[in-house]
Amino acid sequence: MALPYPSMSFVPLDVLTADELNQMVANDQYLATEVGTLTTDMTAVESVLESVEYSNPGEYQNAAVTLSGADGYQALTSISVNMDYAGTMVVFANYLITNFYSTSAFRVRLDGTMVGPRLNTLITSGAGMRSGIVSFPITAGSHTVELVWAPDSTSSTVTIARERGMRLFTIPTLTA
Amino acid sequence: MNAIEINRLALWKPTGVSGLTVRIHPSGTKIKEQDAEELTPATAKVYRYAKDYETEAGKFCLFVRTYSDNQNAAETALDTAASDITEEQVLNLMSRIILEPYYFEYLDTFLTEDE
Repeated sequence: MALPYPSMSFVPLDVLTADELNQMVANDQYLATEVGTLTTDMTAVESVLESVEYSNPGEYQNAAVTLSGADGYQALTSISVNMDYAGTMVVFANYLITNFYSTSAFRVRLDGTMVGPRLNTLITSGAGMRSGIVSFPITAGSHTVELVWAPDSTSSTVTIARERGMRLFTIPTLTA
Repeated sequence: MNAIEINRLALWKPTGVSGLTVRIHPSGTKIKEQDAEELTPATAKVYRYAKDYETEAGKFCLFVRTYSDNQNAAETALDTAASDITEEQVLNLMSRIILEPYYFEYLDTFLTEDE
């Protein structure tokens, strides 16, 4: 995935030339097309999540992992994916956390490698609705981007959850 | 919509351009002087300096607009401020940029007269 004009030398409130305006429009049009493609992918992913939920009763709730007993769970409620001009992919997620594990364990994996921190930055403690974001550079070519549930704690309960290694969604390919 | 604030550093997403970039606004451009309430016409040319960074906080761009044509001083000020940008600042900005691609945030950091 490569923008027509990946480098733009302007910042907000700059006066732009006609060429720069055209380049900005070209980038926006490209992004609109790509985001449309990703949205289609997300629709397919939702059906995958439903099948996971129903095929593993007691382990998943609303596409989240239930750790065990009264441990609670984290449920993904929505997700958006975007690209910026500098070739950076941004994954933004909203999720619900219950009482057990107050830190998000949602992370993004690019081609099998974890990128960035866990998605827990916007609000950092307590149960309830949360939002998180991670951004990372992505180059032209085919990539697999996954949102995974991967706790980092070494407690025994969480280790079990980590071993379950849930893959929440996959963008099959991003091809320039 | 933010106004042009003189001497105040701002945080934005990376532009993808390496090194310092400079633009000039003509005198008369509506700007907000430091500590002023209202917009006023700039009394001279306004220089805009911007530079991309990649630090432990992530990738981002810092920019500033000033009457000074001293590029080295502006770049030094940007470099210094970049080291203080936190990961939380970058991620919070990016969460807004998803909805508003040209959203940026002014920092509580200013170029000084000496710069």
